[in-house]
Amino acid sequence: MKNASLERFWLVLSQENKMKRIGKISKKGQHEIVGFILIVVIVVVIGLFLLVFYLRQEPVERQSSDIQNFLQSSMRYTTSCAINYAPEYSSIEDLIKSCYKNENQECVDERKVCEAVNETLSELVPESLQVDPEGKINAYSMFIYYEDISEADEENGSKEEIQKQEILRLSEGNCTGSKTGAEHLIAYHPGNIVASIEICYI
Amino acid sequence: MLYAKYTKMRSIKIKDKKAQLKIQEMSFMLVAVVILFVLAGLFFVNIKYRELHKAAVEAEKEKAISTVIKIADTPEFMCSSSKSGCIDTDKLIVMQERQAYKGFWPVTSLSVRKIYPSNDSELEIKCTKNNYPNCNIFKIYGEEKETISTFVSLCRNEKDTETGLMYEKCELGKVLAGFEPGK
Repeated sequence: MKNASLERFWLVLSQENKMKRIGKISKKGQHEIVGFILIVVIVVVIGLFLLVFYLRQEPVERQSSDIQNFLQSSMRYTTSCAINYAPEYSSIEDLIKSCYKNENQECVDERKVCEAVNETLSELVPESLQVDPEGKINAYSMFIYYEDISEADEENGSKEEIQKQEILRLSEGNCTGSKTGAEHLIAYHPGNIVASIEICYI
Repeated sequence: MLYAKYTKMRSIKIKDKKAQLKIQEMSFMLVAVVILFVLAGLFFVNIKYRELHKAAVEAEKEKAISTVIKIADTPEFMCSSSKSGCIDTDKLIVMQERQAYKGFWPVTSLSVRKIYPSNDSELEIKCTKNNYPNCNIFKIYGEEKETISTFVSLCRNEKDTETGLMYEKCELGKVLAGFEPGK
């Protein structure tokens, strides 16, 4: 009788010990799983951060000498608009100057000078650059403005102030991919007329 | 006594094995982390290398374009107004198929194409003395292979159909110059 109760006591004790060991092992396992998950989460967060940082970088904008040459050559293009008499047909550059000087200036064929610039450029630019939503160059935007840099004295510290006056704005397509562009300056006292173009290409 | 020694030895052995397993686990983890960082590093090196390669290609292209403009600005092609990037098409007609100029400029081929206004049919019409100016391509020398092109003004003296007076007409064109691959 005494032996049987002693055996039972040992059995219960061993079972208790076993349960305690299992409890310890499972706690250790849980700790390891938590550690592993923590490492995975840290790695994923770092990865996501780097990915977002890389993707959020602005598309590279470069000045291209090819586009610079395009702007320069376009400005010399002889239009069908003569301001004084035919056949003294004006170049786009001259028409832009006339358009800025007097919006209501007309060509000898009674077209408005500003309209003539708009018509010519909105045909010349997409056709020459082969702008096509499915093509290599998918969009462009052209901005022609007068820029006057005047010095504004603010408590003896001279600060340059740039005033922009829009002359013409043209655009076509939705920009996807990289950007490139150029600027062409036309001297117009006391400031400059700036023709700038931005092209989006794949 | 002996039994106690045996159980002690056994427990030490079990602990040793557990420690070995832990070290193994740790080393695997370290190897995995190192591989992960190496892969991430390779990924970024690859991206940087591509960007650098692209920049080098662009720089080469810019250099080639400046060579093309230099050719366009030579007295053989330049407009009478001496503007940079302006070609006199009357000179181009005379300069066509002049084999003596082969090797004079650092390009394997040279041609000039009218871009705007383009002819309605969009056909390539080679310029000759008979069809000039109703054509769109001037072939100076060589065949067009591996070309670099840039925009230029194509100017000529034209007679106005209404008044009969002469005026300078400038159009938009491209100079196409052939470069040997890898040069």
